[in-house]
Amino acid sequence: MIMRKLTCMILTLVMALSLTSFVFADEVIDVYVYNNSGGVTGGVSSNAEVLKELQNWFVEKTNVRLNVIVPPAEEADTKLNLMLTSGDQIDAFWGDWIQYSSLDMIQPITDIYSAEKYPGIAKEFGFAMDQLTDSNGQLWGIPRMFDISPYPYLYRSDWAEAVGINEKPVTMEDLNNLLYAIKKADPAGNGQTIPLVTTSIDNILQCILGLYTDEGYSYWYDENNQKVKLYISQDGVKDAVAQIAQWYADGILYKDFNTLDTNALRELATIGRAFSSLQWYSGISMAWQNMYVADKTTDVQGEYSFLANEDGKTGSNKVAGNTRGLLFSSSASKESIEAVLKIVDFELTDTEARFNATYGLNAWEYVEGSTETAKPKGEGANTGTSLYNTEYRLSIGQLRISEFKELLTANDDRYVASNGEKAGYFFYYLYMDHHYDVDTYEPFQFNLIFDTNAISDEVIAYSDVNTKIAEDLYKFVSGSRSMDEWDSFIQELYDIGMAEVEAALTEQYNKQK
Amino acid sequence: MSGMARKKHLCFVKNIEKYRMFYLLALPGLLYLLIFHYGPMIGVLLAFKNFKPMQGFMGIFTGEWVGLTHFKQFFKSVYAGRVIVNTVWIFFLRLIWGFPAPIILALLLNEVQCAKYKKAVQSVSYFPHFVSYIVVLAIARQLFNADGGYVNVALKLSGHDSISFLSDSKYFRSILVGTGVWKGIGWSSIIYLAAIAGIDTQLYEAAEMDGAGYLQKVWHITLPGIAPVIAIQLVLRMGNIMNAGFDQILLFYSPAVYDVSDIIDTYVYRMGLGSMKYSFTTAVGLFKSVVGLIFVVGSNYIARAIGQEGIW
Repeated sequence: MIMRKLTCMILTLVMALSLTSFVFADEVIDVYVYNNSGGVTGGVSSNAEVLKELQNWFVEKTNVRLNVIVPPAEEADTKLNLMLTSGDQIDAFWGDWIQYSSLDMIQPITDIYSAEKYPGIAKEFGFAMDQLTDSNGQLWGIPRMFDISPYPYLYRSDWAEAVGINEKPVTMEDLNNLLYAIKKADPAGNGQTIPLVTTSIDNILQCILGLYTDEGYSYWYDENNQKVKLYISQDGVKDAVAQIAQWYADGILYKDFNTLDTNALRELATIGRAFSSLQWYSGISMAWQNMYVADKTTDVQGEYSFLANEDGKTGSNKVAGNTRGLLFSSSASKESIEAVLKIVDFELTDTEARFNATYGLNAWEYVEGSTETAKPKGEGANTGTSLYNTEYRLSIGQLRISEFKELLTANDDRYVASNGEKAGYFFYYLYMDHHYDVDTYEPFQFNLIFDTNAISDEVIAYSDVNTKIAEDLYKFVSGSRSMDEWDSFIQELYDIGMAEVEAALTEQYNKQK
Repeated sequence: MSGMARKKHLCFVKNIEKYRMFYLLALPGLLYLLIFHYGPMIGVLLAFKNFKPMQGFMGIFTGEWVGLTHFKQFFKSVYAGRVIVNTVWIFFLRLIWGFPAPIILALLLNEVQCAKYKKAVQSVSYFPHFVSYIVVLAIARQLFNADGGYVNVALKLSGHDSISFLSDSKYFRSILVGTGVWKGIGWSSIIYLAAIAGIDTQLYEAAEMDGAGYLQKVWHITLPGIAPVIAIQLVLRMGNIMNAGFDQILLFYSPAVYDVSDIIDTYVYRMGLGSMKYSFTTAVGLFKSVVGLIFVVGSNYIARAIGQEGIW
């Protein structure tokens, strides 16, 4: 009898304890993230089982259940905006903080984020936080980019060597010598060689304008009347445009460049026609890298150069890490924000977490000789990364410096050319080199924040001026409009309201001084 | 209620009771129209407000009233006139070339005697309708690129210089309209083929006995037989006068051809549709709808005036 009572008491105690442990157990927090970071292929879903396993792993490690919404292949921002407007639960997404904060769609995280609490974030993104901080000191998110120099001149060094030019082109004279030599030699044969490709005149100006003007492709400050002005009105822009027009007339610049998008540009490189580009760095270089990955016997050798004057001033200026980052919707709770930050920090501080989030749970292995670099395990349609779309990688950013450094030296056999040389992550090779070894200058606009949405709301001429600039630059380049009319063109811009645009820019600048 | 009104009311109630099953049958469709077409019309208020997305649905009522500010913002633009002219002009080009084309195709297909061949031609003509404009652009590039496009290869072989068709204002609209016609001709011909099939064949037999040739049969029998369908299609089409084909133009155009291809929708898109300027885009949309309504009413009136069936 006594034993029976004792047994009942023990059982009751055990049950009560298990109930209390249930009550006091850490509650799993559900967070919803719209992953339009750029690291996820739009419209593609991961294998449900693979995703569930990874989710459970994160729950086990962090008590955070991450629910990721994959954006569609097109119009990702449109869907996001509709979801936010409709009140769908989204705790975090990527976007421009200036745009979303002006519409009260996001909330600052000044009181939630701290370097002590999130050391991983502080270490990797800390020095770029000012790009997401407003003039009142409010922090609006976690940055995605830092300052970069993304407009190098990229060219095929194997073709350059074939025409006897082994040195990197630095000055415009070097560049012209190279381009015209390639045109004459026609390495692709049958007149198919395209010496220079780009997708827009703006891209070319981004690369070379610093050689002709003080500020390059940037707003500039006119001391004479103390106004912030658009790049187009600088002295020297006319000469840069004249050079582009010369290239167009001589068949150096691809005639249909304005009909190209990035994929079409890469196609011209892949089929062996394009020699070089003046473009955002990931344009032609990705084509060359993909050729290495697809066919290890390719002879394509890519190289880059930053054009500069004899005094060392580069044509391309440094671009400040921009205002796009990981933002938190105004409907997100403090707990949800902390949970997302926890995941980001976890991925940055824990190698296993980072690679699980990148490749899938246990679908990776360390590159030989490294403890910081990994590659996917296995090949084929049913293995590892084939089943996983990188949804859970929230630590995406172009700040993974440690990772990139490792990649350059890692013994990774996926990128070895036929001559035995490691082609490497060619794309990242370019990226790393021209972020650290190039002394591009900081223009006037560097580290200043201009709310162009607000300007376009207040000043109708803002859009008109930009339309006219885009339209007439093409006319000058194609020869439809004579360069002698350049001054008239500038006057026409003022006639349609460029002065109002300058006034609005100046007002914003004065508030930041 | 007066005697007359009461009588009318009773008739109406009796009518509903008598035909209640028909009304019940129509009810889901009516509800759909009310909820998804008439209900959302309240959103038109956004055109006169300064709407912030986070205000949600109630923002339609509680948003700051700004009157005609957004309309003024649009019309104040230096390019407002140009984009309106481009929109209307491209619409009329599509109408002139794209409206008769499916009718002609239907007339031609109707004369094909071999059933298998007729079906094959129909299927081939429908296919472009299902192809997205991205693919159409790729095909256009292959044809018209200054560098290696088939048309330019032919021009060079015949001793001419190559032409940047897609970057030349002289040719751009032609390519735009031409590719649009090619894409839609097959699908649009379906309704005309169906209408032609409904014409009494005895009329053709009688005409043949009277010695009528092919063209005479088409002119005196086929076209009058499908005239009501043509009239209705035309009236419906006129309502889209301010829609010149945003999807296609956005893909095809570039700054080189803004002067002939920049329409209201592409201009608004560049102005910041992605920045959630819902009020501004609603205002522009309202302006387009009002113009479209005027043209629909006008063309319906004209259709009825010349003895054809309008939409109402």
